[in-house]
Amino acid sequence: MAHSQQDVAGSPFPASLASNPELLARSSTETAALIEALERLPVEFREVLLLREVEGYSYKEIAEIVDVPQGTVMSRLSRARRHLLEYLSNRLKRENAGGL
Amino acid sequence: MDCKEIQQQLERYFDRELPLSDKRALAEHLKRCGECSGLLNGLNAIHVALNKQAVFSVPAGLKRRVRRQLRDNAAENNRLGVVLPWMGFSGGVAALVSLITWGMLSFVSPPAGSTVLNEIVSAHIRSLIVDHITDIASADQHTVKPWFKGRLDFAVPVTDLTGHGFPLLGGRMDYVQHRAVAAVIYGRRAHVINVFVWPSDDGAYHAIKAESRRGYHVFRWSDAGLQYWMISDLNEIELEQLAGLLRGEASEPRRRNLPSG
Repeated sequence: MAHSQQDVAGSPFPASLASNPELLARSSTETAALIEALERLPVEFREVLLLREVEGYSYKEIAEIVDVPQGTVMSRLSRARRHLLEYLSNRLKRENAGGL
Repeated sequence: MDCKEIQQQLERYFDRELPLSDKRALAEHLKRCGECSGLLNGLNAIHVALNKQAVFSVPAGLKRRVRRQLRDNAAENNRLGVVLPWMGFSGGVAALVSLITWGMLSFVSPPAGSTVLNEIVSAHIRSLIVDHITDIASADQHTVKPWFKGRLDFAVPVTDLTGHGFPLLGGRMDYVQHRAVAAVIYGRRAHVINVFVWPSDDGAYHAIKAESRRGYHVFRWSDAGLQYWMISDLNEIELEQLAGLLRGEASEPRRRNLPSG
């Protein structure tokens, strides 16, 4: 467990998020946790995330649907995902610390 | 490419929005780098979880906007024809992403239910994983349909629905329920749609039934002695549209396929 976790400069992801993908995957499958994490997202981030992940639209199509530039779609999507990953990762840490 | 560059492009890679040349370099890096592939797993975990049991959906108001957009696009496609970005898409990337998806899904999926349904889901995923979506890649129904002759003991209805935004991508032989079956493949944006076809036990007509399994939507129906199992991760609205088109087209093959001479 003693991974050295140094952020890669310029990467949009904190290094800690790559530390344990298996546990991260397990945590992210918990619907209640995801709903909680999604509720904390501003609606403009949530809609871009769901249009991509659930409905499968391309960046270009999402840009047309929500009427924002494609670059904005990408940055919102990235922020939404990072938020979910960080939220779930922190939740997992709390669970582990609590002996779950 | 170093980790910084890779991680800046990782989401576009995961979303199949990266140019082919960049995809290859990125895929090579991911094979060697545990940290970057771990991040990709994280992205995939979110995707799988959001699609699990169709719990999450976009707000109603946004859905209306999407439907309006779909109608507008369909009208536009009917006038101009469709050129899909998918056509330039690397199967290797699909294989990589699907492989990870498969691993995650196996980890979280419920116990097996319908045997045929499970076989259909497995066959669909297998076609993506092994980069073997088509045996014959063609958008021409007059190329794909005859290709099945001699390989199967029934005529496979094949229709190019490019005008409706579902271009024919090709055909493939597959194996379901201990027999050889036809897989006719259609595309919709970045989505692959497998339509498995084989003779049904009875000639009766059955209505469309929709089910979801492991994040995939499955529509099945029987018509004119054949059963159809259609599967994709495309949304249900558009899949239902395709099912309707296929049922309409498949029921009138003679009239539509008569040679002009």
